[in-house]
Amino acid sequence: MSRLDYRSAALRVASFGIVLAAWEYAGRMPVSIAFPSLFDTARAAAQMVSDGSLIRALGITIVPMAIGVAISALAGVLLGLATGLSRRTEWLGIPLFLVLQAAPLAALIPMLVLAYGVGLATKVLVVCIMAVPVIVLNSYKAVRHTPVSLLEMGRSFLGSRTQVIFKIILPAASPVIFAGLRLGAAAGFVGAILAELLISPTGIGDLITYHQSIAEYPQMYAAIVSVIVLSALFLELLDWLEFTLFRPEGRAT
Amino acid sequence: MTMQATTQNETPTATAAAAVSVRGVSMVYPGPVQALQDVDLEFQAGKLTTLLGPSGCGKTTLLKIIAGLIRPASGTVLVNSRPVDGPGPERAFVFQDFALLPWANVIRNVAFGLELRGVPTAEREAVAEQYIAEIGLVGFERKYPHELSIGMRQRVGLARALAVKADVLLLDEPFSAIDEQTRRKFQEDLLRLVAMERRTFVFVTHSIEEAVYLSDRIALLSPRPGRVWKIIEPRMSRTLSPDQIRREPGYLDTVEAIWQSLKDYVE
Repeated sequence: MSRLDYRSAALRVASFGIVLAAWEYAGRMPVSIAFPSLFDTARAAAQMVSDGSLIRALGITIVPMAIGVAISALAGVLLGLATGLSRRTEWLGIPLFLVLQAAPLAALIPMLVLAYGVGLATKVLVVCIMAVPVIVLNSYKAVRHTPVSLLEMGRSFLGSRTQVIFKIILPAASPVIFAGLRLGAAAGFVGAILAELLISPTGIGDLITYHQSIAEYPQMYAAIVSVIVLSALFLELLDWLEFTLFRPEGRAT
Repeated sequence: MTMQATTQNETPTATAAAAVSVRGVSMVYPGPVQALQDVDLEFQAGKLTTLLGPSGCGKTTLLKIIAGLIRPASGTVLVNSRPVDGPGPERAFVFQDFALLPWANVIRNVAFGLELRGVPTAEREAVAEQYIAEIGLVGFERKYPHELSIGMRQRVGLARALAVKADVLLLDEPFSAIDEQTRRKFQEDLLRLVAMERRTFVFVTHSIEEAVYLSDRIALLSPRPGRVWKIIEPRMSRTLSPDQIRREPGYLDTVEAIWQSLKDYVE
């Protein structure tokens, strides 16, 4: 690690520290009786981990989350690439996803429940609806914004269309595709929790609803924080995947 | 030795050793903008010919038409007597912005033209090594473009074009992004390459000094619509040192003469 890396790591820790300190301060004021301090929340989290309830809940929530995000990533990137690479399919897909991205998708949930019931399928669908548009649009834009001179270079050195796609367009697009995957995964996580709050209370959504209803606010916040931590860890994993697979030069964007 | 600039009209009879001939090429962009109008031009084998002109004269368009990257509205381009229909193995392009793959190291970038042609790894890297040595980047094989200076990046672009062993090298303002000091060094290296490699160079620039210093022949293009306006052959002894050439009255007079004729278009 260089000195600069140490400094940026130190700044990250400092920024976390400031947020956590502000949380603790706000909890002690208190801003609201429904807003527990950091230490109360941590204590509740420790208790919920030791009695197994938090882990069990995460185990349930992660199922629609993982299935939904995996489907969205695969389908979203493929759709985005297809629309980006061919002018013919562009008009088919892109207007739809622009509308979906702008729409308040949570409003669709009652309709989905009506159509697909309250089970796993509906929850997976909610995750997908939240995650897919941004993944499609980013992949599409990434492909469209391949530098023209790189495309001309590929053609002038006699690259076939397949070679140009796999050796130039995809590597050039990968940073923006991954940015879309990060945004999509985060939106999908929101969707999973939303589904558990609005459709049928299971997993973390159940913990949040239950502890809220009996006014155990530290436990409720611990459940919320656990989802944030899960999401942050997953985004870090995506970053790591991107840099090891597609960015041997280690260039930051 | 004094240097003379001769001005003549292009005559199709002087085409004995033409590696590239452009015949009646016109290009219209939507608008409509007449980018090129009825251009006839011969590029002699083993020589460096420059397309010179103010911006908007279509010099880069003409170069890309020769490269087969753009299809002309009318007219034909012959390379080694065969009509151009898209890019071909006998031509290689050097890009103004280098067009290097940022995720590939120097050796992969230099070997990329061969990679696209399906040359096996060991073989293409051996060829790449050879040209990396020729352009003076030994020791940088495993570096990535963002770790190189601007000048080094264009050397990589040049090596990539040399590595595919094309007869005709098409250079699109290759030195325009490079600072003045590095550019002079580059120009001298290019002259050495022209003498050594015995290939045909087509060079696009908007710098009069660069054109006069480097070229065996200069095609002066006039803007809107772009057409060949004058052919100038700077005659100078390549045995003089670069610094002597740049102080020569003949060199300076040619630069001045071109400037005087272009001046009207700039204003």
